[in-house]
Amino acid sequence: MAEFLGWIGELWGTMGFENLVWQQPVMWCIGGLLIFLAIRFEFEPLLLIPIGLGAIAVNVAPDLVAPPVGDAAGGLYHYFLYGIRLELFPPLIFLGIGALTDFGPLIAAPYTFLLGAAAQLGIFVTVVGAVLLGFTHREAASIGIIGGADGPTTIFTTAKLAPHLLGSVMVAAYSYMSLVPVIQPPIIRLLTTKQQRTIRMEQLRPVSRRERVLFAVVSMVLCSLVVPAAAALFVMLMLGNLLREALVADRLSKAAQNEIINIVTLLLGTCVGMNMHYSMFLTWGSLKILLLGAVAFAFATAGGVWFGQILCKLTGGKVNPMIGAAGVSAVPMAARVVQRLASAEDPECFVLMHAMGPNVAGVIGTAVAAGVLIAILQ
Amino acid sequence: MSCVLLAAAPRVLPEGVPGALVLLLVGMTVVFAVLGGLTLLIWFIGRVARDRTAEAAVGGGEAERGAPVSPPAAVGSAPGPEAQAGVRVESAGGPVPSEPSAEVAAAAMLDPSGRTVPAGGPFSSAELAAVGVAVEETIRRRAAGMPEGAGAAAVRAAAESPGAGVWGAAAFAGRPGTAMPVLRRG
Repeated sequence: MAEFLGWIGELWGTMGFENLVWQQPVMWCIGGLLIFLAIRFEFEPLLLIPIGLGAIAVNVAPDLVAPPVGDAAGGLYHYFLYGIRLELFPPLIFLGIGALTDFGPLIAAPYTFLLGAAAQLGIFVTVVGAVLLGFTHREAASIGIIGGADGPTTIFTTAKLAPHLLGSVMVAAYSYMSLVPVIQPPIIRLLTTKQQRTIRMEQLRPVSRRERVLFAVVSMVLCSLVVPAAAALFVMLMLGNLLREALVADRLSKAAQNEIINIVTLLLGTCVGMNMHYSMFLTWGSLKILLLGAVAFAFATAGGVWFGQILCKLTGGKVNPMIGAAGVSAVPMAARVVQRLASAEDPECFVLMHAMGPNVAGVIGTAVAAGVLIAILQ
Repeated sequence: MSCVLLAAAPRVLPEGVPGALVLLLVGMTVVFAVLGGLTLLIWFIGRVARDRTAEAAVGGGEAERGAPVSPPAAVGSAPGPEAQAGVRVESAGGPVPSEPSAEVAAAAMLDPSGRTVPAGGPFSSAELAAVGVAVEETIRRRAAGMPEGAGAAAVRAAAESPGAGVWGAAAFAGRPGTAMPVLRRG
């Protein structure tokens, strides 16, 4: 009998119950909340479901992402190591984004690049705010990049500058991205008048295939030359876009738009979730990061609208300043928010495609900002 | 300039807020410099491309085959469903005429609300498709003995029809079964 009880005791010792601490169930609840938000409210479900499940999993079995001992296979460690730490996933996601993105509205109205640049204000203002709250410069840069509203770039930057913050930063970034329709409208209304919100813009000109192809190549060369720290992102973004615009590599373009981006998104979300171990996530720092994420989004929106106001003045009222808010690179959600606000004021005011210009410029702008931060801080 | 700025940025940032302010200053300057540079480059490329297209058109050549119609949200008209979805729309493989025929130009004088707008635009891509299909149908019927002037009337009716966008999008999507009422009547 004693032997049997001893065996039971040993078996119990191999289970996860013995070392269970109160923080683990808390993390299960947080993971469950993310899954609930994804299913019930459809907040970024493609990401929040794997993130939520990954968060639960790593707080049930922390060894999932622990380095293998001896000849052991190592659970999901290698996915995590190569995908996140060695940054395999972000450039692959950018390949898919490039293949999915139509840069036509941006090429038709190149000045909207500047709106995408202005919206990066959120990143750098948040860096200052994070330093004021006690974060180091590297940590602050990783938090600030949330303001770019670009998940892969956020991972790319954080994995280089502050990998220990990856879980909190990613959760903040994707949570706020899904909340763009809630966060942006009050800020846009605050910074614009009703008259400005109803400005109708001229139709965009058609863009030829030659221009689209040249754009992909030229912007890749220029951005990679100036900010080589983020060249991996530019190259893959523009490779994806070139496949799309060349119109002769349909198979590759479709693979990048569907299979590649879907598989990588799935693995990325799971790995990010598995970075949410309670010891790294349940800290005051995470709460501060959530707060700073909101600041980042607010200033990013404001920066774009402020620059939109400048363009509106310079063009004698031909530019609807609201489109600047789409400079945060949540594509196409931010552009849709702008269109919804315009339609609410004037049902015949259509600025969706004009807002897509700064929206896709924001993707490039955020990658440039990330490159600058990495170049200076790494 | 941005390269110079990045090169000149201090390798060791000042501690605390001053360092963050340096990041703010350098970061925003580089972002504006890079995207500003891209603005100028793309503007230049666009200008050259448009000049070449115009030259080709003047020389009797056709506009670049496969040149996409931008999916604009037309001023004063409802955007097509594809524009609402932010999806790029391409022409159905044919060139976008730079010089519209007299009939199309006449039709384009009216937008769906009946307001006068400049010939050739602004139209959503779906409405353009509606006009295009109407022109095609007109040519076919004229060959079959359609009376003079009836074609122009049909095209104009297509442009004026409040449902032109929806109908054109259906035709565009390869569902010609949803024949336009005005042509059925014609």
